[in-house]
Amino acid sequence: MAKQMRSPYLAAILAWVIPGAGHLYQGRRQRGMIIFVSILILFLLGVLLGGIEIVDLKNVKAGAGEVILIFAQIFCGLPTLIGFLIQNPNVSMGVGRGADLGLVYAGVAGLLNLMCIIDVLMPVSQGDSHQNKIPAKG
Amino acid sequence: MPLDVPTSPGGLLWALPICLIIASVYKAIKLEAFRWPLFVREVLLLFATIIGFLILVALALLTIAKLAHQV
Repeated sequence: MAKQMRSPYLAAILAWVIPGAGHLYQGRRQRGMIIFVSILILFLLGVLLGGIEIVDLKNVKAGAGEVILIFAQIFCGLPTLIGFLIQNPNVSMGVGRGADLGLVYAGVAGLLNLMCIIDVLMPVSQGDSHQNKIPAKG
Repeated sequence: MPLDVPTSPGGLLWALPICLIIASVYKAIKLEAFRWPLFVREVLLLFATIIGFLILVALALLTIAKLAHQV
């Protein structure tokens, strides 16, 4: 029977919106669940350490390293959007080691999800090839 | 409000969760065929490697600092 691959572009969009969703869509359930849980835990630990104010692009007045980490959070998709929407816009990011660590955690979560987005765009490895194919219509 | 993270050796323990999660996400992506026992073993191996190299770098920096202090 003819087989076709699930759309990698739709998988990439899903992976960006919800970490791990791209892998789940491609049928790689275990990998998707691990990515979802891991990235969400990392992001939430970042928010716990630095406060919800670390998810705020208005904080881009800091050094270059911090700017990269703040922008990297965008790759977390929905968690970043929710964090951005529920915070108090009048409160700025805190200072100290907790805020710095929180920023690193949330930024690394975004960068890891970027790696996962790139992974769903790549051809699937042999071990997963049977999971990533759906029967062609007709 | 940010959590108060002390500038003590105990504060460095916050490096552990991030290393573990980096190892697990990397191995979730890179393993050719996914099996739980293999995944757990590979994650622990990568985690131990990262921590091992962090300790090596810390020891090297400590040695350099001590040498610089003596001069």
